Amino acid sequence: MASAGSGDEKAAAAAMITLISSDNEKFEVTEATATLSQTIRHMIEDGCTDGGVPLPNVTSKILARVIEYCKKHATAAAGEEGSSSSFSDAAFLEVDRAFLEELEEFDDAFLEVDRATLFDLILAANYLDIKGLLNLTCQKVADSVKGKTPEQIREMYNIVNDLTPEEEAEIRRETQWAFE
Amino acid sequence: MAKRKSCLEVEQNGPPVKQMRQGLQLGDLPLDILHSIVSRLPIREAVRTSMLSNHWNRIWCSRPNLKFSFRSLVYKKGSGLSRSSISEHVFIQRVDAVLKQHSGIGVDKMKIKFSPLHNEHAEHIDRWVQFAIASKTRKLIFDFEGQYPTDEPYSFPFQHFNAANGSHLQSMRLGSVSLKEPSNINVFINLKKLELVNVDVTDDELKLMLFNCNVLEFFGISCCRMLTSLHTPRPLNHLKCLKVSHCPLLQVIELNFGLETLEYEGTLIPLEPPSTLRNLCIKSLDILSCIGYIFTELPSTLPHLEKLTLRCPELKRATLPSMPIKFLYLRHLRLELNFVSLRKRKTDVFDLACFLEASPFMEYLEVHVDVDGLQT
Repeated sequence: MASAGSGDEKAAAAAMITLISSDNEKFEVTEATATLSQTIRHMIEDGCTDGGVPLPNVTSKILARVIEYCKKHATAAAGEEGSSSSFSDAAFLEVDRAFLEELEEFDDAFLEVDRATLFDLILAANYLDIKGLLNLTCQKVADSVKGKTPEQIREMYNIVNDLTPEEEAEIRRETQWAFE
Repeated sequence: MAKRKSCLEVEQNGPPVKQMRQGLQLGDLPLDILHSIVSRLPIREAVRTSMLSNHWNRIWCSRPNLKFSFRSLVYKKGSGLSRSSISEHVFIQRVDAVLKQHSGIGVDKMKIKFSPLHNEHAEHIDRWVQFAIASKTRKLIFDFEGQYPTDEPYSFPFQHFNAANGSHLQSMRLGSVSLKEPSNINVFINLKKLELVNVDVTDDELKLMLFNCNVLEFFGISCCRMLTSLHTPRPLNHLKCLKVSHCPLLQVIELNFGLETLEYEGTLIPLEPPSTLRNLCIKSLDILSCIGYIFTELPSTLPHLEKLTLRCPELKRATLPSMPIKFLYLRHLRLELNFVSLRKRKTDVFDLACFLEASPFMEYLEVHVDVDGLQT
């Protein structure tokens, strides 16, 4: 699992960055992939990535998933810069459309995880400052509570109702319109 | 790792509810993430999350997007409730209820779209404007456009703005509002985008308003029935994009140097685009032949034109030009042509080949053809 990029990719060693998970697994990734994370981008800019980047808040299991996301989206970003530089509205081209669809399918499949993993991914995206991944995962949680009653949401996410009857009545009065 | 193992054990032995309680929970996520999640819900659903628990009670109150419309505040699927059957009063009450609870900080966008609102409700709308000012709202949208407007439109309260409190506004869109007596001091010093739809504004009032928007980059105006001339000269040095559509009395447009994108739709008037233009789009029923218009009426002084879009009926066959290269930089030509009737058609699609000669660096040529409503 941790051997990703240890062999043949060594050729491009100049642009490789080593990420170290909380459980001490090493992942070698290209700079293009790593810099989707603003946190790592800043570390590279400050020149403090020699000897690897320790990420004490991210386990190897989650880091592997995050890297999978970044790899896919780094290719996407490179494609955008290359082909349709000044033609932002040239999305009518079949190639672009197919590519965006593929990316969307990837994202959908990527989000097929259990709840704990989803929350871990959110925390990692937040810590590593990967905007796209944070948006994607937060949206997934938001979509999951859409159309649900407070009772259903509490049950779904193990939220304990600690409001006193008085507080509850007060909130209900203030927000009655939203339940109509 | 140990934690994960115990999780697994519970999964195998314990009842389903108990296993869910292990590990990271939604409520354990940092507050700013919970804010972000709740902000993605429609406003009514976000308000309902205040019932969840003490922790959740005020999380929705810092949402950066406040979008108020019939759909977001009142509409209920299957209730048969229509826009006309609810009183403006209910809508106003609900907007007020949200604003009363909102933290009043970090508002990015405030959008109020509800056609029955007009000047009789000025007292309430003024209050919302004051909320927008106090909360340093960056994007403000008031859209009171209705199908059959009869009432006096809401008069925009320039008097509430001053150079300090108006500096947060970066983008504004106003629909069916009156812009009387615009402030003659520079209050929108950071306004980059302005869109006006069906607003009551005279030539002079608009001139004064634009004159005070020094950093404006985008200006769009449509369906303004009083406007006869539009000037975007010097103080608008930053203006890059201008969109004008369906202003029936408009006769003169004076454009600023530096403009890069111009979109015009409506009765054909003389356009003298500056040489900085890169993207031009014209849609007019008065153009009877795209070839005729492009080669004889469009100025050949557009050295940087990259994209040209033209929508017109094709009623006349133009004499094919025998001219040298005209658009040296043109890379993208889009034609939306209406051949009114196939039988009466006088034009030939193959005539369009002359564009290939006139623009040697063209990469994309799009031709959309409409025949009596049938699109091909």
